[in-house]
Amino acid sequence: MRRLFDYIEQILAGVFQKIDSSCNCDPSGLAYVRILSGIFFLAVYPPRWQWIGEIPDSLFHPPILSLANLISRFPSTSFLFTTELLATLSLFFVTLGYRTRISALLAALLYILNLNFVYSFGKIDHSIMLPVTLLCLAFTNAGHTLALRKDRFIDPKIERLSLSFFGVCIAFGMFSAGFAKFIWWLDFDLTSSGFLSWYYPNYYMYCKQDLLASWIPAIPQASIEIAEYMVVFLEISGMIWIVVSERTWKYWLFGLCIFHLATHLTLNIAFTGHVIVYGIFLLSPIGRVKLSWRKRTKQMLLYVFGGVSLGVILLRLCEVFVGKVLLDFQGISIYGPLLLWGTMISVSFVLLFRHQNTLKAVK
Amino acid sequence: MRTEFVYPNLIKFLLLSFILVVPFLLRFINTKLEVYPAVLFPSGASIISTEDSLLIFDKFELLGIDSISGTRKKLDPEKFVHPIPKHYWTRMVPYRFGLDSVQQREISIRRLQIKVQDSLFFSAAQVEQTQIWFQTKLQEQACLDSFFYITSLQVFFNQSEKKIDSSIVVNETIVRLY
Repeated sequence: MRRLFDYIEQILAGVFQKIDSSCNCDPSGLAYVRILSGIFFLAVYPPRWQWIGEIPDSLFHPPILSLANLISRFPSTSFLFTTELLATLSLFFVTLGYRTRISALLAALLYILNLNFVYSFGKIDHSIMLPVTLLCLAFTNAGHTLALRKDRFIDPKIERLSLSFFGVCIAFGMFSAGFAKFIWWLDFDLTSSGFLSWYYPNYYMYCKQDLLASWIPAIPQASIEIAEYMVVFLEISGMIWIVVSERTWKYWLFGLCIFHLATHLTLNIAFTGHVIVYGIFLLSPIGRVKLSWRKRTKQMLLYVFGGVSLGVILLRLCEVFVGKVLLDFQGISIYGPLLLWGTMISVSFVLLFRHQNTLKAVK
Repeated sequence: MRTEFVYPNLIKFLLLSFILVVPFLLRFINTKLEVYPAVLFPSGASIISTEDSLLIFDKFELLGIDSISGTRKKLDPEKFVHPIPKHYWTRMVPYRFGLDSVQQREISIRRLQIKVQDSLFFSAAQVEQTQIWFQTKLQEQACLDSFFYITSLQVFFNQSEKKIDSSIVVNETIVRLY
């Protein structure tokens, strides 16, 4: 029996070592990603919870297996205001790099807590990876560089553990989405379709007819069937690629970005939050890239970025005190998520394929 | 006696499995058993037949009575439940938009023949607050504020012509606010 446990321990040690090495991120790159994450959250997924205080209590239907089920009504407006203000300030501090670790941890916990109340209308949405992203960053050295008040440097083992856990969460999350499709969609039967079960109601009943949605009827059924199998394979295979190598892991994440872009183009379903989730791994090599731009161009970009960031932060703080949505970046246009995914794919492509030789030399 | 942590990777694996796999299995058994928080993404694995010329989809609609003409009119669900995000409104139909003081929740697992019921209790004052809230919503959409309809429809989609043929009302519930 002991030999069996020793054998299992040996295999698992090998697997975890592979995962550690696949999820390896450049520390200076993580600092850039941290700044981008802070701005992304404030601009695209800001903490907006005060509206819950306006909802009558008898609409409170929390998920049965959740902490909110322990209470009998929605929280008070003052609680929601306080948590919204704390989360907004925490994200502001994450962006600036002021006590990043505590700020990221606090923001993550507040998101997890208040999303429980947002999901108390009979449905759980699936944006859990957003607070998990902040949790991951909290246990790295992302706040040790490019920061106003640098965090204490933590053991790289803890950073690797955090990134590995985050990577496994992404891979398993996609597996949880793909498993049921693996059972029902992989039927090798052209007389049934999973994609069309989404497309027809979305397009004809709910009028999601933007971008390339109107092109779908022109696509042959066989092509749609092949695309379905590719999606199933893509969703369930993350648990394999994370163990193979860093390169295959990042190629898989890149494939997911293309998948989300395609979903937005055809079904007008964006999953915009996952831009920053995959960005932790796909964008972190940016720290090693030396741009041969003029100092003046870099300064100008810094001022523009800084100005936009300051604008976003001030806007969100105003929203917290006013208690109303002043500007919803997500709702502005169908092209917003297109721009985000397009930018993500372009930058990732450059980092993965054009700069990989530079990165190899630096390693 | 000195104990050593002999199998750290096995412990790590078991912990990870508990955090990730258990919620996944619970959701797989019944979606109402979905745990929050849990690392789960939406599945959406429904299928349709591409051979059938007519496909049937279910849909809910909200209807009110126009306060000027007295005729039925469709309510805008987004405005009706604002500031609740609009994609939650159909999930509020099973519990009648919180207009009952006792609201049942049921989880049934057919294979194991298990049925668990749970009730949420709200006071008369809380239900009245909800009634007033929806009255305001109806007034905002220029409808009579005493009742509205929840209509369950079957929509017939013609797959060969790629258009909606017709729809029939399967069930209609009047929800009285006073």
